[in-house]
Amino acid sequence: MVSFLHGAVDFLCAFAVYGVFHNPEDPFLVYLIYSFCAFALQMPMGIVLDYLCLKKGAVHAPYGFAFLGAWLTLAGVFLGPVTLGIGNALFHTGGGVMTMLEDEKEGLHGRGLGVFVAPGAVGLFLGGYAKEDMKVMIVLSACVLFAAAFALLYRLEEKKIQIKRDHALPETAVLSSVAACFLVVVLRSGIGLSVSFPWKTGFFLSFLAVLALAAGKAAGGFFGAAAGLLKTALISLSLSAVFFIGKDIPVFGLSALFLFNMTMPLTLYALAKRMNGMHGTAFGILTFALFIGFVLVHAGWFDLPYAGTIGSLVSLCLLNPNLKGIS
Amino acid sequence: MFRFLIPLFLTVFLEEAGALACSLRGRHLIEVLLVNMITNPAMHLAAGISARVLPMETVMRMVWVVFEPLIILAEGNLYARDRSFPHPYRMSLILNLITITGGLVWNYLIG
Repeated sequence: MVSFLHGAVDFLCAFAVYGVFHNPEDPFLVYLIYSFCAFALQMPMGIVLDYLCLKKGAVHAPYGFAFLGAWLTLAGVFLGPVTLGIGNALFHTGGGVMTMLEDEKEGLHGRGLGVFVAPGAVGLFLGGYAKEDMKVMIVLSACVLFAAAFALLYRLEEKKIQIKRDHALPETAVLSSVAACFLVVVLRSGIGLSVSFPWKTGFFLSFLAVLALAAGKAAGGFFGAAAGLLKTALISLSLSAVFFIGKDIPVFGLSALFLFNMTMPLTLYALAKRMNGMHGTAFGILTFALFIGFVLVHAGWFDLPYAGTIGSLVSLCLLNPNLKGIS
Repeated sequence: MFRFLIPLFLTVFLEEAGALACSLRGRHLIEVLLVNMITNPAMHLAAGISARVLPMETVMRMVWVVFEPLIILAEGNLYARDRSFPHPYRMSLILNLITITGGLVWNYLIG
């Protein structure tokens, strides 16, 4: 349910950013304002959410964040990119923490995380195709959908939620994991935005690329739970490094996208485990890394030949020592 | 402006009627209502966006071959989250078949 809402919220954001607020003379400014609010603000929001959950015992705060975030995102379609971005950030923080708590409660070892993140890419893609004349239909549909979805979520979710904390790890281990996962996500963000595929023209192949990306994120969680985080990262990043070399051929490009994005739930799960129950802060740190990647791409840092291959190999080196021992 | 909500009202009416006929009561009826308020707008939006990039005939085929089966599975999955909901996937199939039949009759009558 939260995964579906994630897709819906990202759909609204893409519709607003690429349609309603699009300024052909200076499109970058809207993207920058929205991206800062949507990604960078998740870190302070995650810290606040952890404080509410762990110190104040407000275990339903994640639901509140997600609820408020979804409706603010909808309001943002009318009010502007700042409201849109803040709503998006609130939803992602709340929804992400809800998913992580559910994943822990059900003993899924990270399977839920990829499933939560995957629909976002699909929502973003489809939102870009929605035109402004569909605004009324989209807004009314979103009103109906959000009202029903949150009501159903409230009815079906168990009232008692417990936040588990394991024994604290040494500071150096935590800081090392934070730095490694942060850099890996910066790389993933940068490569995702900068690597181009010449065959990605037209709706069908572009949609196929998005599906490969989303499927990779979902699959990463399942493979990580089944085979272990380190083995999954080793195999997926090694293969993606090879496939990125032949990315101009559709089947290799799609495979590279699928494999490269498998690390997404692995890094989130690993960091959440290392940070000892501080799910919101872990989530926020990694989404801040997405924003840094966005900024670095526009500063030209990822204009490299074979960026995908280099990024995969560097990610592999960063994750190798930091995924050991996490189950 | 609200004409695209007509399919939602019809769907909800038919599914609730079908649910009553299948002896669902109380909280289960509310769950049928809420689930359809989620899936129906989502499907119509998806079809609307598909119609922007694909021919109408292809979109109609996609609705029958892709969207409707996905909706049946998704609704069944949501019903299944309530452990007291009887035969969630079977119920989802029956209720959606009622709605589809009702929709076909409606389109035939209205033209």
